[in-house]
Amino acid sequence: MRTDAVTGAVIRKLLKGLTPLLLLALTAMPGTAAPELSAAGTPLPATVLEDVRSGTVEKPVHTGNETVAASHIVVQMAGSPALMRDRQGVFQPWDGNPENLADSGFVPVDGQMLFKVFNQDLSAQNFPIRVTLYYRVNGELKFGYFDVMRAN
Amino acid sequence: MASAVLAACVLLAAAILGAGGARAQHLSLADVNRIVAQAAQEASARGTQATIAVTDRVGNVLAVYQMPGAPQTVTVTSGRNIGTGIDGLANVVPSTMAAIAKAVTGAYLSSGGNAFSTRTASQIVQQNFNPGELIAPGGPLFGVQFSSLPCSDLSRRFFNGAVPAPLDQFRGPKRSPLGLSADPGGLPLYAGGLVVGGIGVAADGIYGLDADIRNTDTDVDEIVALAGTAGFAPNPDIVASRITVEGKTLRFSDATTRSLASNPGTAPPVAPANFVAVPGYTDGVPLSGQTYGATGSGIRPVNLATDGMGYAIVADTAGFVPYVLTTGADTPFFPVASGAVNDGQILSGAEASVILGHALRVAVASRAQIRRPLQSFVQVTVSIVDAEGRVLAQARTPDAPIFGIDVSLQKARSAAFFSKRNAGANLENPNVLPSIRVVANAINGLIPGHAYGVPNYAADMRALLGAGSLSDGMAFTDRAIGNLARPFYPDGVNGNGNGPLSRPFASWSPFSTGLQLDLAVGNIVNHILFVRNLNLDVTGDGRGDFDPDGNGQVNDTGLGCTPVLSNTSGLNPLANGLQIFAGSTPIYKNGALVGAIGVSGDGIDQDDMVAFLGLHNASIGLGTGVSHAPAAIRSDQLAPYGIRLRYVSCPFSPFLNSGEQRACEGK
Repeated sequence: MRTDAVTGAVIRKLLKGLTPLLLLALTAMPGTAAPELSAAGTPLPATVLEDVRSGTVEKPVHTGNETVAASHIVVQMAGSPALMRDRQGVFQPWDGNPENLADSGFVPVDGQMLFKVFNQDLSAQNFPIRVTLYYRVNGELKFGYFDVMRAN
Repeated sequence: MASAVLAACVLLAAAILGAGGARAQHLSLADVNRIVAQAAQEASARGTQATIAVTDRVGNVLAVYQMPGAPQTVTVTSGRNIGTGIDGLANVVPSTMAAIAKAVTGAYLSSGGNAFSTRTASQIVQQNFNPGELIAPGGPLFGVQFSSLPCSDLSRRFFNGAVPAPLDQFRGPKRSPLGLSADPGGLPLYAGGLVVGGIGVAADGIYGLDADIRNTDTDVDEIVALAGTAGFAPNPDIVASRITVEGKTLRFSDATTRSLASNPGTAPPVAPANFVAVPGYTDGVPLSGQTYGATGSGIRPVNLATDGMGYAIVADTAGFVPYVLTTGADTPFFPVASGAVNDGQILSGAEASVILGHALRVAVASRAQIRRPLQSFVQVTVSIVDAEGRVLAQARTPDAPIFGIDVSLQKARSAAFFSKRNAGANLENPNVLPSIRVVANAINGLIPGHAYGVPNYAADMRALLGAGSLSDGMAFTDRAIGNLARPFYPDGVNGNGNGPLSRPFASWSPFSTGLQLDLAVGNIVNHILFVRNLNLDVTGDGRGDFDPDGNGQVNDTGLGCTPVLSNTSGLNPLANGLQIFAGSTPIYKNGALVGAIGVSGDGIDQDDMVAFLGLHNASIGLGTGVSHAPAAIRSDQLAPYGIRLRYVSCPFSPFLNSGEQRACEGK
């Protein structure tokens, strides 16, 4: 019993310190503001799929008054080359050159842009999936990234 | 040379496939139950309660058995109370994770030509080799303990109760929950002369290492594990104690069969109820193991008809059919690909294939350091990456140890990362140090007296090597990176100050290696919490804070071990972690960095040579401008404190059928 109490106290201390980091790793709570992408890369909350056969993954980002010239999505999973999403929702290999990123075709509406990453059966994919979102403004790329996890 | 390789491949294939009436080489369910029973009986005979894990060769966890009353957690400790890293972490790490890590280590470090244990690992990862000696260079595999990490983008994962189960649910290599272990109690398991898995035992509550091998320990974890291996022990001729490195004999086990308090042959069956589930590793139901080299294991010979032209080129260049990792759909895990452009140059898939093929060709022509019988050829995994760390190709010799799969990729990525001009900028990305310091502060709150500070390693590099360091395009091999990542500079001179990628010795241990651990510590700790499934209320709102989707499970670590991002691509150039021992070299094309080659699986001088000569030989054949770094920009031009860094170090007379000496000089 004492070991459990000590362990619990110890873990609570650890988690308190880790809260800022771990909360970034969790699904965004309803009602929270959309995150902003950045030139340095912004860690975004993870998405957890309860049923990978119904793999709908969307992520809103705040763009404010920026004029977005193009948007891009890159996905990576273990054992797969980096794939970029085109306007038709088709994923194709990306050579790693930012100048060759396909335009995913998403545009801001009222200062927010909704990236629609997946809407398909993902049961044949390796998880976790790392998703990197980009948009281009004034010739500069801003980006952020998050993981798509499976619940089971 | 080719005939010897062919003969070895045929023998291995026969053993794997059970040809000629031979037993198929994998652990059956009966084997797993027997191994656990033998270990549990020994633990009982000693009045101790243990957690026992068994894995197959590719890291699938076949069983975790926890005896009633077994310690639930282990204390991570070097015994030196250094106050940094994860050294001193108590009451947090589950014993199940420790046992699994030990079993994976025993399996991954071993092969048909060498049987290594976690005690062997302990001997080769410390600040002096041998541990306990002074003024001796660091261990040859210094840093290997932070490989096969749970966050690696290479290692496959097990998903508990997955519906539908992923196609690669039982394909390897699997990740290890704590990386590779240096705590005695992890041993390989053999059948028919081939390694088929590993056993790991956690009974004494300590996850540490053997700091002084000049004595013989009585380690209960090791003794219990040894009992488990009865009937599955390696050929005595290939155990670590029959193998020398740098003139020093390696250690396999301080326990012998004379140490046992029980007779493994009389072990009664264990209680099924004590098999436990471990999130991310096992559902708690014992399994049979995969047969290494067969399709289901995830590692098999290249299929020349279906695996693509790239790997056909590799095989043709190498002179034999190598092995590759495969997906659940039985396609190459790393399809041959062309690299990202850097400074106007690209390493093509065809070039990567040729380089890989030549490296493998060098390997099978060379004398192995860590394999028996003597005059065996080198067996390794070779990885080729582009300048962004993306994998362009990977292949291996048939019986290379499994650990080299992840490590060869780490080595390649590390060389590419440090050789690229944005290395400093990427290390000083505003997200990197703050995220590490959040974790460090949390760990400080956890361990009394802990003072886990995180230096600005990039600034320390510039202070030592000049203002242009990490932005001047200096070409770094992993040997040179390792020189700078030792607690003493130069390596092994006890009492000297640390290299800029390390920590002062007083705050260094194999559980706190400096930049290497600091980059990955957030993900390691995240994974521990996932396995513990601790959804605690830290905000005081009466609800758990770490399961917002209400599925009852804390999130596992994501894909990628470090918070580093490339300011060129936005991708993670060190996705499976940094590595800090020799075996890689950067690749250039027409003067521009285009990637790197990493090798792992034999002695580090052999690994260096395979990478270095493989690239050299390929460059001659290709004639496309692919080459080594120009001599003027190689890191051996740097001499901090008047001590020159090393670029590569090759064996003096390395080849099996040639008397050629100094094969790397002048290239």
